[in-house]
Amino acid sequence: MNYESYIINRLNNMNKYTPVIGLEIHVELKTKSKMFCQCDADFFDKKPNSNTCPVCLGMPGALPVPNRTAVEWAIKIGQALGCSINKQSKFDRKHYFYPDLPKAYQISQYDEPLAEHGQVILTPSPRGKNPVINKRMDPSVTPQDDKSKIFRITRVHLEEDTGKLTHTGKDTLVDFNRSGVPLVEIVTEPDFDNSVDVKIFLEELHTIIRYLDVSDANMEEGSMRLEPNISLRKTLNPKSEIRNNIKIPNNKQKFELPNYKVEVKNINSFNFAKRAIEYEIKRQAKILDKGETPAQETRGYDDKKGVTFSQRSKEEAQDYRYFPEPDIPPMVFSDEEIESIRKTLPELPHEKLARFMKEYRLKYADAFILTRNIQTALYFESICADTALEQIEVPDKSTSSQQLVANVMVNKRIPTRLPQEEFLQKLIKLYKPVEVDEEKLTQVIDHVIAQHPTQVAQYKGGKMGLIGFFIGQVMKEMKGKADPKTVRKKIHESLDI
Amino acid sequence: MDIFGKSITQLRELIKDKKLSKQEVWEYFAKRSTKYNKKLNAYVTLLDKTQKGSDPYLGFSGIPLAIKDNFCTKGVRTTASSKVLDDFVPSYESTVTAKLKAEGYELLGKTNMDAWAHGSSTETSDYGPTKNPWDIVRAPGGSSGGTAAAVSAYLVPGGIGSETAGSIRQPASWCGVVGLKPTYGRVSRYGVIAMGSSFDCPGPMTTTIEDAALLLGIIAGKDQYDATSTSNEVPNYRKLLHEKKVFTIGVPKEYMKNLEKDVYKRVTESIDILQKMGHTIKEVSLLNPSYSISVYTILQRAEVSSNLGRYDGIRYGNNRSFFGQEAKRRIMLGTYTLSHGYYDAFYKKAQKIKTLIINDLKRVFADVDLIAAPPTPMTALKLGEFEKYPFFGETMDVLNEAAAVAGTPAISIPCGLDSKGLPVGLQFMGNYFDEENILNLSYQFEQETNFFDVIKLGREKYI
Amino acid sequence: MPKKIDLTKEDVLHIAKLANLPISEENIAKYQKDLSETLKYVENLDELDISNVQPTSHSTNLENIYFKDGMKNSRQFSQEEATRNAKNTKNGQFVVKRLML
Repeated sequence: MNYESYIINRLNNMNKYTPVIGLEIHVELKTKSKMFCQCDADFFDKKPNSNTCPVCLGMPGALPVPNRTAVEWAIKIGQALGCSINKQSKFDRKHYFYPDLPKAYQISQYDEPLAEHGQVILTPSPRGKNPVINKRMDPSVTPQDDKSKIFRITRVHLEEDTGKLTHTGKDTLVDFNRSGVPLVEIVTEPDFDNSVDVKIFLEELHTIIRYLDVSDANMEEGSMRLEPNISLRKTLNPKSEIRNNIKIPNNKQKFELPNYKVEVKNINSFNFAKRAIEYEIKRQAKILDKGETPAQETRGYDDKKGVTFSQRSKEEAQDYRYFPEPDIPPMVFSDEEIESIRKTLPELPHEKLARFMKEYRLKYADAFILTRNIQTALYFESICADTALEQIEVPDKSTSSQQLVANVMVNKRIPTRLPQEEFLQKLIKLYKPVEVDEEKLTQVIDHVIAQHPTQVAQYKGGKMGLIGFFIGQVMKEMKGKADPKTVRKKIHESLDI
Repeated sequence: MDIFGKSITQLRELIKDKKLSKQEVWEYFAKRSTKYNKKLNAYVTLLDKTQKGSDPYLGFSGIPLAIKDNFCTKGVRTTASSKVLDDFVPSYESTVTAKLKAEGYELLGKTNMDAWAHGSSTETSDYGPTKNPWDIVRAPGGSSGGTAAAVSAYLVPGGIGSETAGSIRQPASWCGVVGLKPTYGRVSRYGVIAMGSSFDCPGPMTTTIEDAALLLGIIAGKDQYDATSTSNEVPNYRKLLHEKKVFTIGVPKEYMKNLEKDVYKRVTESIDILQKMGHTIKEVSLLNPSYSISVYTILQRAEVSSNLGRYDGIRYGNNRSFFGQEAKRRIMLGTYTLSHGYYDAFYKKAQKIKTLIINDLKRVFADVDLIAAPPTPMTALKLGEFEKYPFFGETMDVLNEAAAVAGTPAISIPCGLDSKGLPVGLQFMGNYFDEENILNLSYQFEQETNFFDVIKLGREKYI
Repeated sequence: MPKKIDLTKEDVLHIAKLANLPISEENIAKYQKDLSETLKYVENLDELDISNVQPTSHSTNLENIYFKDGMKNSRQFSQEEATRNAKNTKNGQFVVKRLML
């Protein structure tokens, strides 16, 4: 079990209850056009309702036609999450009345989503190696490590976004500029049992989606949205129960799922997600301790107050009256098409991280940081492939130049926004072998040797370690402007006569 | 130059030959329409070119047509004959009317219909019923009753209606004009106020077969804004009218039952004529049409309940309290059949029987080229009689629903009068995308019989 | 779930709520009657054998109809066009009564 989640568990005294958490994530695609019309998918900063047309405004007689790129990108996301792609898929109408939903139905997918049955495997790094690592999970460690956790992806489907509501005074104002923007919905099985895993999963998901370049996936901006479903079950055997372990994944364990679940909305960051979940777990535990069942409902999260609050009762589950969208013919994909989309996937973050550790012999922490952003990773590799790198001399013999580059980038000793050439120039300047004035060096060595006859005698008498003393003295005199390797060599030459 | 009775095709030639001007033609029909609209109530909105700045159709672009009021016409009020859209003026154009405009036709007026196309008599209109020009105490049929009446009384030389199940064929037969329902997907639905998304078909209503072929040729074709419109090539329907074809025509025995005596008489007489003309007549069997009623009722009302959800008065129109009784009834039934737990029992089951109906028609069309039958079991009913039925529309359209559900094309043409002097219709049904043969046979029949002068007699009531 | 043919008053009220339709007390009975009659009629579908039949959603047999991302938007509304038919707008936005959350 992850160290931090263990601590949280103890702190919350959760041995009695095990959280059962499933996630529903919406990702706004950054296609050029909306999902079912040619309006701009980028609605930022536009005059209200000026980014609309008969289709996304739900006008009489308007008809939807799907955006091909949105479909391909949704499939890509599914593939990146290990899902199988359904060869037959379709859209369905999901009905409910709300002012931000212009047709009174959302075109979504019900029983034939584009992708299903995927998984994300996250592995905690070995404890104790590096305190920093303990807070993260090391996705590069092979699943043979029995601490890995599988988080199953139930489905990935495509739908359209709603308009935006603004509440002011006695009114609610509606702007449909965002109505119809493509959304990919990702649903996980309730495989999460603590808030830390959720946060790490979200961060990994964010990184994956950014790698695909299909969305900004930014929670603060609303291009990635999270709605966790949270409940608590009785822990079967607090001492020995193995939770969500790759050897005994959740779907093979036999525990009773709780008979309620609480959905939380309005979570605007990864940290908020962690806090909201922790609050909910505490809140629900208190209710269960009293012998009652928490209400099945939707709750909002208020980070200022640090609480979740009741929004509307999910008791009467919404009747969405799904039926197949008659205005859009079904989608049928050939094996070739599915494969050709898969071929456009980039090397995924966990694959790149593993390769960086292997190929460049980077330590986990550096490889992790370098692979959080595909541009950074590409930049790193490009620098490493540059022949100019041969010009640097790494001070520590046990470090390769690539490892050095990684270290320099991770510690930001040189800004990585620089063009490659400039970066290399600066790097070379930092680590160039120092130009030695041979004549001066000989003079200084002779001078130092002459100045310290006692040590010379001791050295010649067998104290070989004193070579370091002499090197130090010479370097002092040379004011560092000498290459230690050369200095050592020359001193040996002088003394070992 | 006497305009009265000229077809669209004839008027086009006359205008081209400069024997008539577009303005003359416009004024002629505008005058007639205004004159008779009080009596017939065929139009919800009549365009008035005499008022400056009152409509966006500057100048006179061509031959005026009547367009059913469920087609969104830019700058011109569009109501679907419902008070919910009483003041709705779209700022966009339906593909059908855009295509007609581009070909030089212009909008004379928006015609009355059953509100939201819910009905078979135009009596559920919030703007009063349209009267049947043949007998004004009777209904013109529906839901395209306004267009049918306008064409029948020659207030326009032709028009556009729409059919979900029977809404073109049935009023065409009750008003004694030509009405064609194309294959589903042949004509774009973009800009047509949706009723049954899986069934809605815009189609021409005219005084001659050639005109129907002409208009169909203009409005048919793939539309990038309608994902259900097909890429099938659009044949030259007009040219194909003149091919000397001989058909094997199936007559389904189930469709010849429960008819008014005179309907049965006129239809069988017409079939005899077809036989004398050299076509082969064959008795065939089709699935009992009462099943089509059930299938169509469930599927259509489910889609209606969904399509009418957007009318909430927030972005346009009035709120949902402005819906009429029939609309509410259909929305309620549709909502119920889609609601939790009932989807399999109703909607999904109906979709399965839809498959049976499609296969049934395919089976018959393997043996025959076309099917002949009456389009309606009775001639025009008196206004008010529809109240007896909770699903009057669907029951009235029993002989239309198979083609509606399957999406196959069909036409209604006049074939005589009944003993009350009311028009009787004859229906030809064809296989998918076989409009050319439907029109060909209809043209042959027209050449042979001139529809027994029904269309001529109809408009002469309004000289 | 077994089909219900005879609808109760509560059924009618529930459906009206789902459908967001205002119905008056006087009309409930009429809806009960009308809806029940229609439901009774469509029972005739049970007479048919559909054990091995697939449902048909689209009669056109069309598949894979899309539009190209980024193509020109010829139907774009200006703010004025988008809001011109609304009865209640404020600063280019549509107005409804404040929603209780």
